[in-house]
Amino acid sequence: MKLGSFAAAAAVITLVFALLAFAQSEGDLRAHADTSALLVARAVAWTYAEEQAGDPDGRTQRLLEALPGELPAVKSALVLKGNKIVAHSAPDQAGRSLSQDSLSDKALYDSAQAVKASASKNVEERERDPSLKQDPYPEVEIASLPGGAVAASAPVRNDEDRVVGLARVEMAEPLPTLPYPALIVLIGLIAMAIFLFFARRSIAVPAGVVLLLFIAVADVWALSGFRFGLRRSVTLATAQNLGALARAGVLPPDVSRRPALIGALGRDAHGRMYPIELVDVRPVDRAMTRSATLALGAIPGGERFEAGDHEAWFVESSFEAAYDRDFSDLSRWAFLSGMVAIGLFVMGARGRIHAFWSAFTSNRTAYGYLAPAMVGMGILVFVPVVFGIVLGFTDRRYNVFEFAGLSNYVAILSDFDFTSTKNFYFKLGVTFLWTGANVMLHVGIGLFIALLLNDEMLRAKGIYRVLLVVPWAIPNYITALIWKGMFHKQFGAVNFFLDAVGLEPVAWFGSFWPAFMTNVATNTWLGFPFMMVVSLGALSSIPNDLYEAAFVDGASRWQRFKDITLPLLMPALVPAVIMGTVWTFNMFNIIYLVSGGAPDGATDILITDAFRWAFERDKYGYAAAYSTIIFLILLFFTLLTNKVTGATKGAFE
Amino acid sequence: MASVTLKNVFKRYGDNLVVRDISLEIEDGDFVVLVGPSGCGKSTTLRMIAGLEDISEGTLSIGSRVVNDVSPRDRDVAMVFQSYALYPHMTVEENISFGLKLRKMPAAEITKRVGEAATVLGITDLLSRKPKQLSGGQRQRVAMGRAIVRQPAVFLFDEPLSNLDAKLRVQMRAEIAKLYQRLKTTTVYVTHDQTEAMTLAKHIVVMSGGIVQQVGAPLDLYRAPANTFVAGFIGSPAMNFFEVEVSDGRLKGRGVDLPIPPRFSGSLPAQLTLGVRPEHFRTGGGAGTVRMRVDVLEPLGAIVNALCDVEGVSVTATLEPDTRVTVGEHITLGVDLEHVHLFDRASTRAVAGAPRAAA
Repeated sequence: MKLGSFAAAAAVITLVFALLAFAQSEGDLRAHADTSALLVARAVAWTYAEEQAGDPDGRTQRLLEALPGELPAVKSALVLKGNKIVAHSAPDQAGRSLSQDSLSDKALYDSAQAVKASASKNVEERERDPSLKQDPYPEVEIASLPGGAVAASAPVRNDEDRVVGLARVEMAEPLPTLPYPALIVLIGLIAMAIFLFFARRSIAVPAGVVLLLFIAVADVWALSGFRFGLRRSVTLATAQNLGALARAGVLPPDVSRRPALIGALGRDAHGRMYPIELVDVRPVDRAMTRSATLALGAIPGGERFEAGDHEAWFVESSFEAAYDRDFSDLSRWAFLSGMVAIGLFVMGARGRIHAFWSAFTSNRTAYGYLAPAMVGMGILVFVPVVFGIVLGFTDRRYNVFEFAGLSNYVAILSDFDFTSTKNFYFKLGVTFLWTGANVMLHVGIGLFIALLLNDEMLRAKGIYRVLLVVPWAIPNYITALIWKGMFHKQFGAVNFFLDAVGLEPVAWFGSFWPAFMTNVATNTWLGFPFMMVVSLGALSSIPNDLYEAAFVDGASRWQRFKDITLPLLMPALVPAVIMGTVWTFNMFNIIYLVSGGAPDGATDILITDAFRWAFERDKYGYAAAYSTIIFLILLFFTLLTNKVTGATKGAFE
Repeated sequence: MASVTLKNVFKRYGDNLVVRDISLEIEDGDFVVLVGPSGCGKSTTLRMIAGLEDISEGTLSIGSRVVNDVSPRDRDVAMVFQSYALYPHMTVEENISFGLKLRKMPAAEITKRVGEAATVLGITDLLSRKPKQLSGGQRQRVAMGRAIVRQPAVFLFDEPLSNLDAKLRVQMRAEIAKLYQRLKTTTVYVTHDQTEAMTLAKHIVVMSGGIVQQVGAPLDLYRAPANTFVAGFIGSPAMNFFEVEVSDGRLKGRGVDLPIPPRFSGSLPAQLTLGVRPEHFRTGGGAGTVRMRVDVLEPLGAIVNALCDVEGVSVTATLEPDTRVTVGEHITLGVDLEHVHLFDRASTRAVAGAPRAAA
């Protein structure tokens, strides 16, 4: 049955491309929304700067009032100077001062201050490093608002390049929902249907190869075509925005700050032409785009938007480079999914897919019931895991992930500087220590209490059980924060107690062992109820007459525990211990919230350090490789323990 | 081996009196069966002997030693549980040798004893298996092996056969009987099945409501039940009871009219219960007869049990297999006057008659 393997391979390719289509169209649309808002904000800022430099008074206010009429997407626009709104798209707002009591005014003021601060910082940096000069005005702020709107803020500068105010525009550009993923899936389905229609046994293999090739090529072609079309329409929309701005009497004189995919030119009242930055692309094309942009006027076939003294150009030819690059990007994906497809194909040839398929067909109903869970697991577990593993082979530069081979793994594993708290092996040691200490305490305390609770003579068992499960029931970050507070050096309950009994207070987070101990104490408090509940369940499933038989056979209390209770607890306890080990190994919350790695990251375990690599030290690829190593360690541990103990076999089966 | 003596033993759970004033002398080498309906206190009595239940009042001795406060492990008894209570994580061999190992017996001796026990019980080739790999009968044998290997002073059996199917039960019953014949160890055996009691016991203790109703050899209980409870409990099918009064020198009741059997020559209470075992009806009449309608016929091959109706009272009669009767027919059966029982209806006690010639 080769049909199954082809179908599976085709499904993989289709799925990969559908996801790509989804991600790309989402990204492109969002980038467009951001760019549009930014464009308008810059235009407003520029207009106000001109006004300040001596243009007719009130020009900005007139522009802002006209703006919503010309650009219906603009919800509001304003210019702030100091704490005064000097111009506003709603005339009644213009001229008022910001109120101390209004939260939205305060947010506005704060964002103006932030933009101003980063602008002056950037000025300093530009003076120090001339190479940054080609990015003259990077300081803008873009925020997503509820309902898909975008708020963009741009600084207003005076002649001396100093920030004197802030232009802020809220825009809600209608984003089309694009059916590209559905179209990709449709291609896959149609191709598969044709294939199944024509595929007779004898030609199944060549037909399948043709099918896969067809799907891959069609997907690459369709996706790059879609994207080309999308960019074209997005660019057109931007150009139309420009036209609208021009009609409103303004065009931003921005020099292309970032590389542009398209070029648009503004021509001001004096006949000077401005290249206008529009849509974000990657830095690779910087030179090309720039020259293309500057040469724009000479390229025929462009579209021209004109209003008064201003004109904007939109030229399609500059798309082609991007189209080519998209195409090669997609070809890489096609190659990758092709490799996966070949893998599946090999499995198919070995009969695996056939076995799977016959299992599937003979249990059709069961799989039907399982399908929702399987889809959920696939999306929530499988996709992120694969993504994470892939990320481990990349390195991020300028927001672009580049393939980096095994370099992350080599960097992690070949660092033997054990004295550094960031060293992998040091972290591994701490993690083992942490896991060992916790699991021993969890099992020890949990089992001990379970034995006490299992005593038939004990009264009010229900109350004890509820009380003892409480640590488990409280969200663990709350517990973590409470314990962190209790170990506070000055105000914590623990030091207060030490003081009360006449002992020296301890700086709990000042050195390794006390900090480590606070983590262990917190996690023990959190973790023992699980082991207690598991043990209690297993204890109550041990028939009482086994104890009686052992008692009559001559076993003492200890012998009954050792020879009856413990061996019969094992089938329940071993999986719980394995699970507990894995949980503890990856117990992020406690470490991060209680000691926070103090002192100096020494008490961080692998998982918290992986987090820091990703989100504090900004090395995603490195962090992903870190996580993959953690995963492999735990996988190895689980397979090993399962093999050694045969834990998945119950004693009563 | 030892005797077991219970003297005025009580067992209470809070206010609930489960065993009332039991006194028993179990001789060395005796096979005593405690029998009675569920909840009669027989299992509790056994568990008190084992030491698994405290004794609320009275004394319990094994041999000459009072063992009220002796731990089960020091009483030198071995018990076979209804559920067999085999240790699921141990092999058959480990199960059997567990008690010996706890007693720190030399390994060679353990091997020898386990081997002997396994041979006796025919489980030699099962020694390396786990309990879950055994059938019900095999588990039963292992449980017995675990008991006999210890060579205890007393064997205790707590309904050991009730988890087996009917055929296996008969087979294992015979095995237990054989085992006892071989070992002659003092044995206390609890069951609710009177057939088991009759076939196994040297002495039967019939219990009801926490009270001993009668103690005696099986056939003595059959022939001379002390009260209507024992009379109804021992024997299968159960004895038939008729309410009768003495009138004109005859026993008269609904559908019953018999002369007073010669054994009961003394003065009789006015209110009596007449007991007739099913096997003591005779086809073809006699001095006393009962007329009844046949409702159901149960042909068992060797005999036919006729479930009949005597003016609203259900009666079972055991007939010869070739008796020609049909369902719905009215028949008249004679009663073997030599074997009828009379009970005082108020006290339920048997009315003493002259000893009867051996049946």
